[in-house]
Amino acid sequence: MEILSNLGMGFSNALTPENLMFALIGCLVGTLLGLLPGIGATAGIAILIPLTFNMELTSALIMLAAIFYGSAYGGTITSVLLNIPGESESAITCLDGYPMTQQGRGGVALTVAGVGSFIGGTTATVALVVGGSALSVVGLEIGPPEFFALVVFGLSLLVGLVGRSVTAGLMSAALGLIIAMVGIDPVLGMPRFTFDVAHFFDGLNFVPVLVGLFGLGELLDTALGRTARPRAPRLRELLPTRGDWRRAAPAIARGTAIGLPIGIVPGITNAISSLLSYSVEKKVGKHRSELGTGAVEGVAGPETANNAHSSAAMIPLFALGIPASPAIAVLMGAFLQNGLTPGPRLFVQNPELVWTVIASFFIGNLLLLLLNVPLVGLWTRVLAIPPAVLTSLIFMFLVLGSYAVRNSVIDVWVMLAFGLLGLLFRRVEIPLAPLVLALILGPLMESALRQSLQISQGSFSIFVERPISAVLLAVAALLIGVSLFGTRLKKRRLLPADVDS
Amino acid sequence: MTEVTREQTVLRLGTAALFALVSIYVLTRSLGLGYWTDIGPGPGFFPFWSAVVILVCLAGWLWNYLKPPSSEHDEDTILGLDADLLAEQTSDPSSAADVAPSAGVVPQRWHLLVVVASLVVVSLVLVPLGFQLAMFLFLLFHLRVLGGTGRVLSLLVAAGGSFGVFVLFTEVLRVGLPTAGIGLLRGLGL
Repeated sequence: MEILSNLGMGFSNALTPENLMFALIGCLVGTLLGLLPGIGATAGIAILIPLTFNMELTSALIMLAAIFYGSAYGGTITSVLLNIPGESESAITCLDGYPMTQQGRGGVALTVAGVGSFIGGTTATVALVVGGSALSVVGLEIGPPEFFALVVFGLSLLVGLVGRSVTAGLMSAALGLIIAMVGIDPVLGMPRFTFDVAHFFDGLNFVPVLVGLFGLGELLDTALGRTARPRAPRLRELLPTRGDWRRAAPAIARGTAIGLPIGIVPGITNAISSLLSYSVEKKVGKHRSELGTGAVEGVAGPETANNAHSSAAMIPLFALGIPASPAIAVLMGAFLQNGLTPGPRLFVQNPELVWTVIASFFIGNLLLLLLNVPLVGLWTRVLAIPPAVLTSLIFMFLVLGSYAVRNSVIDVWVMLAFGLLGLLFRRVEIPLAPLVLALILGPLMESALRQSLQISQGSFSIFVERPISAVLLAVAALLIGVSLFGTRLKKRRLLPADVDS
Repeated sequence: MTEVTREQTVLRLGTAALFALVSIYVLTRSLGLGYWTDIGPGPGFFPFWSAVVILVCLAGWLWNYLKPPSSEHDEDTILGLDADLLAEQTSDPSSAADVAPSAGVVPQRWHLLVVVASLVVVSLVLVPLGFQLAMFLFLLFHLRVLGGTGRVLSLLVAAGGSFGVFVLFTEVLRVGLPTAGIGLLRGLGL
């Protein structure tokens, strides 16, 4: 009952004209980011964080969250119409989405994907409402050793299950931790790795780092890439037949059932949910023999799983303070930048803010459904804008977003340096996702480790004496071990190189 | 060894050298910062072990790349899906059909270098010239020279992306952007 009254309070705040407008802006910007080549949700949210400094905090978080889930819709459009996955989780949608376009049924694919995404996203948000606050009660019992173990567990899942090389993933995570250490040591107050530059005493701000890695790095990687101009489907082409719905409905249900529980596990990414959903369709779908040739189930299942996963991934963020993906890590960064630490205490300390943001998820998903399907024509026109215009404007925003964080050109240099690093990582297939999670969580992880060892007077046995941390660390070690030496997981060339590849 | 493989090898070795340099620096520096104190781990403890992880993994990463390829036959499915098709979809978006080349006018590597150089230049002149003029010239260069965009469209986009964005951000969104450091330009409202 308390949940319902909290949610009601959240809706009354989220439905104010101002917050509705920011949810709408976030949905539109998110879809645009999902569509545009060379920039995704991670870089997009990072670029826009400085813009939110003068905004009311709740509105800012509503907008940034809407960008996050809106980008998944944009990625679907390019997968279906162009056979170009905007994000790795949309890759599998190409298998049936693009053949549907070739058959003149691209609009149907987009409508089914939109409805499936809405159902998956909304169901997972209901789970966030019910499970988030319940899990946060457990989260309140978590002390520094458990938190440290939880972060290690999340990182090990990301490193173990995503990317083609476990060692590369570990290197990436460790580098992220080192970057996070730049600045004044929080306990003894001495500068670390600052090269005596006063600007770095506050640490390397994550915004220019992420804008460089994900925005500039991606843009440089596709510097002279090829861009397509799709044909916009006509309105009547958007409407699925009754037969389409009959075939899509079970796939949507299965996609929700897959994406929701998997999304809750920190570190496992949307791409895994989408792949698993397609795999299940391939095994149990009534028309499984048609998959790969333009079957509607091949779009409905993975797209639903993907969005259910995205919304469910908010549960560990709100309940435990652990981001499940780079984009959510940036969202967490936006909270931290505003002096709020996402986690179980947030439900107690800022219930109004938490419930308003959660309520905005429902509204945002509905807005995306209502707006994006009819706006497909507009989005395809955006893709028809000359690539030189798009990329030059994106470059401008990369510079602007980096500068605006602290009004300093040094941050533009940082962005440039990390852009080149991002390009290098892409070329040699080192995943960026572990670096981002480690960068955002690094300071919290270090402080949890140091607090734990202070509690135990320097004894590492504290991590095995506490059951939760012992289990989490054991599972993490097992996972890394199996990933490194297991024969089945050695076939990692088949996995996406990175979460946001 | 093919051209691509040679380039990959150079890139990998370069990356390995970069990682090795960073981790060795961090390793030595963190010992200087203090590994352990009376109240537990010192400021150097966490960076020290992060650097150790990098060095150990670096060895494994290089070994995996340089070792002779295994004759073991790769499984052809993952999660029950066709592996080759999946690998193609997840790693090669440019395989898309109906794809037309963009309006680039210089070869790819040069293009990359020119783009990076233009970003270096714009960050150098951002403070002396101010956001508006620096970004106007930057956008014009990208649109006209690199992109081959028409004169009118280039001017419109460059003006909107520099002067327009400046007004939007400073006046509406209240986000500070640099004005010209040179007195003469500042006098012109730049």
